[in-house]
Amino acid sequence: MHEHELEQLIKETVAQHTAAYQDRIEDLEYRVVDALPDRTAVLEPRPAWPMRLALAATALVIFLGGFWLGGTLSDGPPCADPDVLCLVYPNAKSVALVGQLTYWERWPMNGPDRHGIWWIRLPRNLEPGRYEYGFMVDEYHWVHDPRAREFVHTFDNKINSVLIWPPSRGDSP
Amino acid sequence: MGEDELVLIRKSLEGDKDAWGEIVKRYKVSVFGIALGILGNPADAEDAAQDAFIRAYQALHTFHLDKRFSTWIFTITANLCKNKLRRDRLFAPLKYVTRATKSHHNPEARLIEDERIQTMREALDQLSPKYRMPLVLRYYGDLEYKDIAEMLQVPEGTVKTRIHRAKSELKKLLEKKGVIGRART
Repeated sequence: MHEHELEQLIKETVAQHTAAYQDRIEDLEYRVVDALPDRTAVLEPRPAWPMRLALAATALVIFLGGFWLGGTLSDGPPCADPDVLCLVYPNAKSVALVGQLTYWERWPMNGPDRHGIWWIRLPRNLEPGRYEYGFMVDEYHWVHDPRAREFVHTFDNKINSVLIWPPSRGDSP
Repeated sequence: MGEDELVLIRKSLEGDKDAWGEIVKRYKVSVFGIALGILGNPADAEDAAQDAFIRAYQALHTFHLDKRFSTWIFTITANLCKNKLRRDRLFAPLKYVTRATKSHHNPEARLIEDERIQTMREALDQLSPKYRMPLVLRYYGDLEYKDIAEMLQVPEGTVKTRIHRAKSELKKLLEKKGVIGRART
């Protein structure tokens, strides 16, 4: 059997198998449309420094004065926040968050700061659940999150980090 | 991408759900096919296809309008299937064995498949997901090696190697079943 015959047979096999069960997706578009969320609730990457937070920070700065301003700026990325993922990787040119919560798209992370820390704040409307993720360093290297509490091995011998997003956190505004 | 398709996507971005319904109508067979090719189980494939279109709508703002929509939606579908397979492997390792050795065909569907197709389907089922996934994406989804590589997060060379090995394995399985002769391979 020639290569192209084999390839054609693979294609035909999947196509015929699909056709045999096509009745299962007859009304798929209606089911999908019924299940779609409103655009206002659509998951979007949250900006690292949203307007509300910026205003709050400005108010805090005015309140506390110059001394505290210096202290605030020197704190660096908000890695202590539960909704912020951080990775120390000083030599990286770029770091992106990739995982189930990004639909395996690359979401560029902020950074690095002067300590080589990259960070990203998770979407505010993230639904409670279990999400596998990792960091894509310099567009190629898959790096797990050393701060994750759980890890899984993928079938292609990589390690995914696991984020458990509890209902209480997901329900918060 | 056709101009009307671009219009539909733009409308969907603005929250027009009916426009997205039209997109689903156009791509549902191929998306279902990708999922079925990877997962092998029609019920799981149906769930994956539905989930893929919902997630794609939610993540539509990340789609670059100058790229092929089919590649993007197939990527989402394949990743959902990948996660499903991973979950199954972690939580029900025996399911694979069962799925690989038992046919899920209904009698009606079985009748329309000729012997070669039937044997090939069984052979595809016996391949590990690691090999089956790039094969389906390449020959059913018509995806480029580089797109598959990006999706699977492996170098392009690895994708080519996996596809080559998968095809060799398929040939062996087809030979074993007597569908193709050794002399012709």
